[in-house]
Amino acid sequence: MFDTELFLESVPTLADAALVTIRLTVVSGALGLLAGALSAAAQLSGVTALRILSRIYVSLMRGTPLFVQLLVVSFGLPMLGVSADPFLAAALAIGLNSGAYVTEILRAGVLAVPAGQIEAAAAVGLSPVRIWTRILLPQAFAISLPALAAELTIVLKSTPLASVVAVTEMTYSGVLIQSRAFSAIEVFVPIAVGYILIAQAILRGARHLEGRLARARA
Amino acid sequence: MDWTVLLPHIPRLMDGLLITLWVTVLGTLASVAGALLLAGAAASPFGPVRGIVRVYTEIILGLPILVLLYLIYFVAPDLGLRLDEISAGVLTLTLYYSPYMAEAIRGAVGSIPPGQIDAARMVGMPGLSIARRIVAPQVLGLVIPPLTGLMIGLAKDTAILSVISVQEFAYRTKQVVSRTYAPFEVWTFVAVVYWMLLSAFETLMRGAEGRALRFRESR
Amino acid sequence: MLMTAPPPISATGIVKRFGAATVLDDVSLTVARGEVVCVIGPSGSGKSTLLRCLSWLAPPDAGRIELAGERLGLVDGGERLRSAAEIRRQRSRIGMVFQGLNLWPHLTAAGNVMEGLVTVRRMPKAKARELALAHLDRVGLLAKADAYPARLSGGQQQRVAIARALAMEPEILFFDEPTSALDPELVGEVLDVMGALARQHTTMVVVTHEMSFAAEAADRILFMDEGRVVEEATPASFFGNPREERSRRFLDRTLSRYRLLVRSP
Repeated sequence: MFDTELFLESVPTLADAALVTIRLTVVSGALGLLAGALSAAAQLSGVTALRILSRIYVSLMRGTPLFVQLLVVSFGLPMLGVSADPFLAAALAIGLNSGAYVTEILRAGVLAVPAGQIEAAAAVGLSPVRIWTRILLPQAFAISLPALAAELTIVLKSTPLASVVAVTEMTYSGVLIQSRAFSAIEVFVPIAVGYILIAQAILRGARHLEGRLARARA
Repeated sequence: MDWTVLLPHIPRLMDGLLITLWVTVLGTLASVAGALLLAGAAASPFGPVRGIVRVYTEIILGLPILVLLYLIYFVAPDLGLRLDEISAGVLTLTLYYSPYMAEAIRGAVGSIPPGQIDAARMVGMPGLSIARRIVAPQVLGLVIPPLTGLMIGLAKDTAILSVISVQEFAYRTKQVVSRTYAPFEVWTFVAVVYWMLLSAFETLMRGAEGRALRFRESR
Repeated sequence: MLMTAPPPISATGIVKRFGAATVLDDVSLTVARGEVVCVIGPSGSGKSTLLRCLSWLAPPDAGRIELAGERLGLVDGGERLRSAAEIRRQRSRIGMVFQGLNLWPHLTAAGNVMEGLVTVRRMPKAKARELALAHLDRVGLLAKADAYPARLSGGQQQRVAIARALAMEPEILFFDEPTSALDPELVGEVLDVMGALARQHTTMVVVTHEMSFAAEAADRILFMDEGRVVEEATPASFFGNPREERSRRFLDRTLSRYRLLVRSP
């Protein structure tokens, strides 16, 4: 029932595709972090227009399926005159989507830093920019780390959707093999294991980093 | 851009939307039931039962829902489990969302101070009464926000079922796109419909949360 | 002495361990009907654990507890555990007021007091409410009967908790540092209610750090340290002339802090 030959034949193709998955996860995750940081800063900035803009962005991203966002981005970019490389379009859509959730995570992280510290920093004479870069952001990042790691696993789990814009990442690669070989188990079980391993690597890496940050402060 | 091309296809899209709603409702009910089961099993006195729940949760935490759908729709038949598209879709949503919802329930139950339970035990209340009269009424309000987020996620993930030809909203949309050759207009329209419905749902749930936790208002 | 009713609570040789640590080491305590016993001692001396053992929330590892002459938790004579229903019935005869604010937040003040009467005593709602109002009146909170705990001050919440315990008409009331979670300005109202109960000869065991309350309200002081009863005496003798060195040191430390507090403007 399990075709070992097919499995062994598929492994190199799937391994290549796994690298695409990892690259897509990293690029989307980085875009998401950037978008989320900007949007969180906008929400905490106290400028009403920026706050409303950020709210609309978060609401739109959370309120529509990523699947649909991917298609809107990949069909919308050419209309804006941008030639849409499928990988970049997918990374942009996944990253923007993740940015909405990162916004909430970072916002909560910044708000978790006791207000007294900000007052103390201001009393010592630190400029607002320094307060952000030296006091608030490092702590907010440390507080948010577990949630950000969980968010990165969700980004990983969103990458198969890139197949709808024809990025040959791990899942789509599996679909292609399966449609040729008419057999699913040899392909999709290793793919499932691959995702689970990458996700575990992300979570363990974050835990390790968390430990290092905690030790650095102790 | 020409938005009028959409008009003749609205009924077809709405048919798809009804299927999306139906699958969402089925998936939510089944996931909540599964979550209660998992949350109960996670509190089991038997180590192996807790272990199975933990491993299952870890697996789902790393598994894309699309891959889970392929496993159930393409791989499970090889192992003797043959399901029609809608059942496979609902099963996927259930298996995927139950552990997340179980975590939400566990979090809410865990946030009730143990002293409240001690106080109930000291009055002589049996475990079932404590669960029903002390824990449940509070948990009901506390799980609404995380559960709302997950239900919205579930509703959005029904779009994935289009890949196995469930004739839901996204699937019908693809059909309309292939007839109108106006992908941007059609997908944008669909995005707006999703957004309005899900935003309305979120507002509704926020109201429900406010009512359920009214006892917490200090003024 | 003539035939007397058995004491509300009588414990002998209580031992409680958590892992390798022995938290209670051969503690015995008998409380007569109408007696007020205050348990004092440094933090970690096992005072709260004692109350949790005496109420079977944390069953002791050894020793014997009798609740009004009936073996608590275990079947008389034997070492077999009582049924869960039996233990619940026994617990409902003990009232307990906890350190934290443990009112059920989704029920009103009256709802909190009624809950045990309705679910455990199977009392009709109207009757239970009538009784609840009477007990809330006793702690001076009749006007707050329909307020949710979130709208009550910490002191008021603890007074409702006292009413909740009283409503079950227990053999004995346990207080586990009922004022230590409160803001200083709210302590007085709770101690006033407890003092009134003491004057009405309610049988009580009070674990507390409030020395002046212990000195005024207690019939007997139990001083604990490191899981053992170090000294047992009347308030006058304990505070005036402690027999044990450890008691003296504890009082010196605690009371000097009090004097400092009194002196500061």
